[in-house]
Amino acid sequence: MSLKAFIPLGIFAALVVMLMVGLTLNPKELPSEFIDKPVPEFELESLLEGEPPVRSADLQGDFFLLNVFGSWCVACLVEHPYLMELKANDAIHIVGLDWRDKRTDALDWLQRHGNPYDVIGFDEFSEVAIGLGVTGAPETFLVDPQGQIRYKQVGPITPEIWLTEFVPRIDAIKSGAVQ
Amino acid sequence: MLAEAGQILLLLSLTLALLQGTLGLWGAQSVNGRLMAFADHAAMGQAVFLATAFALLASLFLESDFSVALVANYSHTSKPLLYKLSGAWGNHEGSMLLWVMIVAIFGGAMAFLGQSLPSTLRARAIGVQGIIGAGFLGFLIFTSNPFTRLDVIPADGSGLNPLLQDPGLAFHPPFLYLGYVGFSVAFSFAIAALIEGRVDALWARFVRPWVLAAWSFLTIGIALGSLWAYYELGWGGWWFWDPVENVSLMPWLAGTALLHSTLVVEKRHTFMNWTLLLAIATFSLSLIGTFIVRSGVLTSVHAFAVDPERGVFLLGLLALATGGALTLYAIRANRIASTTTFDAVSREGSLVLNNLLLCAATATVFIGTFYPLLIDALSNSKLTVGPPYFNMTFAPIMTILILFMGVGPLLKWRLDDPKRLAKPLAIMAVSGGALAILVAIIGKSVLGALAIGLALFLLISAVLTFADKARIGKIPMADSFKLMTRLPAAAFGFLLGHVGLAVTMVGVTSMSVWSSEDQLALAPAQSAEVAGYEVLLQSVSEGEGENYISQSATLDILKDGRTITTLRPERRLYKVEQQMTTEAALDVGFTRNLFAAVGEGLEDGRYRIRFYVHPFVGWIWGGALIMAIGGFISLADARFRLPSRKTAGSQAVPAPAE
Repeated sequence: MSLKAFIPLGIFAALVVMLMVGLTLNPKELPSEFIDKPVPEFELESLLEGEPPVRSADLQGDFFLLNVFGSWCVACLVEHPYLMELKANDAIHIVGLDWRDKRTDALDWLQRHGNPYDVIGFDEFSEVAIGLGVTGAPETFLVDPQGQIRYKQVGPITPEIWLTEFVPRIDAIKSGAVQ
Repeated sequence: MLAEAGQILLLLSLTLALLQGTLGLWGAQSVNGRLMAFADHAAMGQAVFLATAFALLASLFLESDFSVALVANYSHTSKPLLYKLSGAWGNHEGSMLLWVMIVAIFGGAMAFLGQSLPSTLRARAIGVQGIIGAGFLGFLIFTSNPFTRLDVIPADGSGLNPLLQDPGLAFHPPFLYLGYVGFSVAFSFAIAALIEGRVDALWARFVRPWVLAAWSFLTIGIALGSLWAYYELGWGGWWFWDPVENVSLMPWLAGTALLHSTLVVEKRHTFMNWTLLLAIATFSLSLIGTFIVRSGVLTSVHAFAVDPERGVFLLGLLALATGGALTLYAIRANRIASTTTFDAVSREGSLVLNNLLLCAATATVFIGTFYPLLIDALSNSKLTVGPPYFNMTFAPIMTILILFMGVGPLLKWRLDDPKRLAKPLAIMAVSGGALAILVAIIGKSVLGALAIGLALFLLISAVLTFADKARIGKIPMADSFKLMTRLPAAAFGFLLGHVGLAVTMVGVTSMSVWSSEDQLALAPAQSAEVAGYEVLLQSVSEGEGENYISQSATLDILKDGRTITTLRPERRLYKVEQQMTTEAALDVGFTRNLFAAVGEGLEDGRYRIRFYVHPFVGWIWGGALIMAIGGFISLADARFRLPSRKTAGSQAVPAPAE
């Protein structure tokens, strides 16, 4: 028995430990510093040319989803039909944040697949995304009528996630059960 | 009834798999012929049971039996027949049933085809295969049962994601799994060899065809996935360095190394331990791939089952299989001694280099895939690793690999004289260099030109090596042809495998350097010019398909005033899922693909049209197909036919000269 023969086993053990930690991590967890804080102030040019800029102040007076997407993001395409459905049902206002994208690509993407957004800010250089602590796309913030972030969803929104994570929070805030 | 029959078959298969595992290993340990024969029959029985169970699931999908949860969740009465069928494996539970079925079919085939092997080696390998099968059957039955019924039967199903309704994707998982799981045979034989403490040429000769088959299936599986990404996700991308793509590439790279190292075991009786380790690593990477996709540890478009319970179960299986195998390796590896050393300038020397480079390539993909997870585990911050990383690490390693791939096959086994290589190397370098200069002038890209030149270098090397085997130019041509018909199938496999890679390389290079695209806004009867092609919008019309409504544009593409093709890109709205997809129109050509997509109409009556010219893109998958065909042709090699039982004792089959 030579020690050299144990090297592969050692490497593999380290990998298993990493995967175990990986399993316990919730990739959808919101870093606590953003909960119940107002949306960081921003002003971004609109993705659609000729439209007024998108401001953080616009995200007030009702519930909003602030959805970070990009035409380069495959998972956004997976989430997209459900955003279209939310839009069709008038379930909530959706504000888009087109992140690290090319304008023509993004416009083309929206034309190919449809546009679920009320307004879209064009964040080519991560000016706003950094302030929001965005780690990837898609990522979606739930903003309450006071303009405070109440929840962050990392990864695609599915019908299940909408019903289990978003709807109960909106209802609780609406009924005044949660301040 | 069918669903209940499926449940029973799964439980019976689990029982058989456990018996196959325990009796196979115990029978071999106690050299009990009856127990070992029982394990053989259990393996074949399990294969039949699981194939039946899978057929039952497929028929539940074809009948649209919505009382079964899986069918209700992933099918719909309006779906075309092909996608009803592919719905059976287009989801987590069904694809795991496909997985265990393939494990069992390979196990059955080992019992059926391995009758002339030493009986203890066969029984041990079949036993290990049974344990793998039992582990995954447990996973299937207890966490992901495909036959679960619903209490309330819905009127119709909820449909399959339209992105996944595609012929390329329908056949992508079966091929991928045939590849992944095919490597389980090499793994099982590696464990059996470690228990026996013996690896020999017979072992290599029996394992090699399984590796070849798995590798060829995996090649096709990866190519189909990439082809789907190309025409369905669009944008001219064909490989996204998505974690799920990466985890299928890693076993392919390791499997390619294994393919070459078994060659050395067979010819030169060295590299034994390394080959065992590669066999373990290749299948482990397949398991890791399954774990990643099924546990949702890394978020990705393909990760459709995000369930921590499943993740823990799969990680447990991975830890047992790979951890157990590597522990056994650590304890027993020193028993398996290589008999000969080798010289650097020799075929085996070049294959060492091949293995090192392939392992380095695997490692770069591995690090790029897992680094974000590691950072998350250590510091709880998230990052992504994108194409720039892979372009800077993976691409140079593969370039060096291809350079040596051109030189290695020219060398002889044992020891070679470098001077002998001067002539073929000069032919290769001069023609590769000449092509590179020509391409640099026409294409105006030095890197692109060098890569194309290198592809020709590799191609000529493969052809020269093959020509040398047929002694072309040394004996009369007629005799060379006669000799060619008697060459072992592996010689043709080698030729196609290496030529295929050269072809793929031309496609990859052309796509990354010379593809062009333009975005147009055209009214009917208007035209515009893109990269030498004139794009003329004839008309736009509405239509209806089996389960969608569509808007399609008719585009005439002209070159030098002549219409060369008419493209009809579509936008589809799937009624059930309310999802919009773009069906790009494609004109496939030998030297270029033309690709058009139509967008929404603008207010002024014009339509947005996106038009792409993709030079040589088809060569990417054409080359992959050539490689896979090469692998399958090698399977026909007479040297893989083991001596039958009657003659086994007397004489080993003499290997034809190479």
